[in-house]
Amino acid sequence: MNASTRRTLLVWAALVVAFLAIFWLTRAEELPSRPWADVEAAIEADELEGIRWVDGVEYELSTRGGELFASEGVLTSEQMEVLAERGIYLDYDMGLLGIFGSLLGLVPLLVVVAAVVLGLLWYARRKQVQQGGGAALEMRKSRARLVETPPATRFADVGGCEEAKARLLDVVDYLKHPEAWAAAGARAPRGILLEGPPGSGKTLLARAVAGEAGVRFFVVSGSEFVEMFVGIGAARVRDLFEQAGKVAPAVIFIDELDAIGRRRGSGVGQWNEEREQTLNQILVSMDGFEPQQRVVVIGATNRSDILDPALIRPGRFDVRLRIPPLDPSSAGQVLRIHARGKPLHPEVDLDAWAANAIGATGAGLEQLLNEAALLAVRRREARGGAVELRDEDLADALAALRTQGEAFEPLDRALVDSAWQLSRGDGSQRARIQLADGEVVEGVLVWADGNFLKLRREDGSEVALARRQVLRVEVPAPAAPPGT
Amino acid sequence: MDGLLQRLLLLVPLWLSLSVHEWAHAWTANRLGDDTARLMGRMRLDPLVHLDWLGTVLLPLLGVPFGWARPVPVNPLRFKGLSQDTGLLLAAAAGPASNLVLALLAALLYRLLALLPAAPLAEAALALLEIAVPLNLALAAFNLLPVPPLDGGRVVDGLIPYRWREGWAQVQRVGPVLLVLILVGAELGGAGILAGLSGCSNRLIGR
Repeated sequence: MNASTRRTLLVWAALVVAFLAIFWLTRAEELPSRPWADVEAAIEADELEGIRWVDGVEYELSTRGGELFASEGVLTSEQMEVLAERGIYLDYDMGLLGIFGSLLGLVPLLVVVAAVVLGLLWYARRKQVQQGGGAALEMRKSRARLVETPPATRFADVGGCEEAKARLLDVVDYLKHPEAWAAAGARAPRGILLEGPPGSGKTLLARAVAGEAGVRFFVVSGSEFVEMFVGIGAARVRDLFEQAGKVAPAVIFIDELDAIGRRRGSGVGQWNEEREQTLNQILVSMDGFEPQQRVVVIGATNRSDILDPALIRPGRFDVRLRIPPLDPSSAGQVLRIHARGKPLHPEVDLDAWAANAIGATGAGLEQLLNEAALLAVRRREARGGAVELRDEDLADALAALRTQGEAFEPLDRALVDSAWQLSRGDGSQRARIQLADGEVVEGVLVWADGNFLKLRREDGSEVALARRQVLRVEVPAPAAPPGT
Repeated sequence: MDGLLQRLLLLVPLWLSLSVHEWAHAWTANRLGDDTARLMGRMRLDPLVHLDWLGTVLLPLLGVPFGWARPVPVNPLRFKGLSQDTGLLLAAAAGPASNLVLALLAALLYRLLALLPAAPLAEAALALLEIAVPLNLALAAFNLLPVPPLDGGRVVDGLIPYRWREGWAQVQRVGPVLLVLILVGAELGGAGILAGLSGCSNRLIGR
């Protein structure tokens, strides 16, 4: 028997003994009971010495003869008066507590009243907090966007990534015909990790999986789980998986998975409990889906090297698909896909352009064609109203995109050089300016700053141009270039 | 004087019954995999570990028909092999259930003791059991009221259909107010319930 058991037994024994003792000590001696008529007779005969009210209609009485007895009945007010005249008052017997005891009797009532008041106060406060805290509850909602109907994207809309597509066909098949997978006893793919550089088509592929399978599609970015408050991210994950479970079958696409899926316990000197909680919740939620539920999670990252190993273990993101940079043949496919609906000049050879665009990503190629289409629209006047994409549009678009990354474009440099030349005062700077709409203007620069140009043509007319109209400025090399 | 002494007499079975009640919560939770209460030393029948000075000592002594012991902590995340809802439900239901068992045991013991020839000690023991039976019935009934802070409210938590959860959350919010109203209502006009319970207890002890 250990110490705590002994103590327990001791306390029990003490309590029971205390009970027996108190009971024994207070055991009331039973007073002989007499009919109420005896009491009335005693009052009449002035034989009563004292009268004590016990409870309800019970009284204890003593007579001048020293007799003690109990009786039950009701004292009339006349009898009370008679007794009072003789100096006999009803004894309420507060015992040791005396007057204090009567106050004590009020305590239960006071406590109940206080409890009501406190309860109401608490309720009002709670309500206030709740109204103020509405935003906090809202925060816990996942911000994932549910694409209402299954997306219209198909694998045919995705150029290249043949290997990934082949693997994802399995997933589509599982979403469509889970019973076949169940029959084979095969564990269905639960999480697919798409790795690839930005713009290589990870989102498109995920969307195509949902589109091919004809299921709901949830898009969420990993960074949307990252929040200042601990627990919010995890709550959002739970909310997301709950929502997906409700509309299953579904595909959940988590973009930028590395924002939360970073290796736990890493990070220099910082301990990010919030992110770890969020990650743990994703792991638990992915484990929590029953195979019948048909929810597939597709994660995308371009930093798979920093992902937590637990995220990649079997049963989670166990299918890892690398989206390689485009090779020329798939780049051609991608270009053809994006050229759909765009009027190409018959001379344009997309495959040649694809060979030219080594290292480009799908998104880059899409932008190239879009830029070229924009140029084609701007240049339609110069081409007699025909809207079509020509090789020169593509070339200019490619040049524009290539230079986009540079802080200081050649065009800006040309403009700055011109302004500098003009400021020297010789005023005879010739320039040949190609406009974005295909027109070419030649003349003498009379004004140039970072934003506007003014040219005087041979015939003496002047034309003012804004920076955004200008595609290229050709000027003879300045005599003394500024130290740029 | 009599009132205070009577309340002192009531205190003994009250402490013992509440100890068993709280211990039952802790024991059930422990059986289901949540050893939080056990590790906190609350899985004991010792009244002193469950005692709340206001709720278990002062209020009963003042004759307030209401009280509480220190609640046993339950961590649903630690339940093994069953859902958190079910676990919470079982752990919550264990308290009132233990009071019912206790009432039955006390009644049984009372009947056995009543067979013995009358002796002063036996008389006192009978008095103890005579208080214990209706007390435990009352504890079980009161705690099973489906009002959120009580055990009965937690049982409802586990049983309520998912689509009623939202409404139930509203009830939970006003739970303490409801409880106060019920207490006041019982104080003002609830003699019927008590009479029913004492009738029930009289049958149990064979009167």
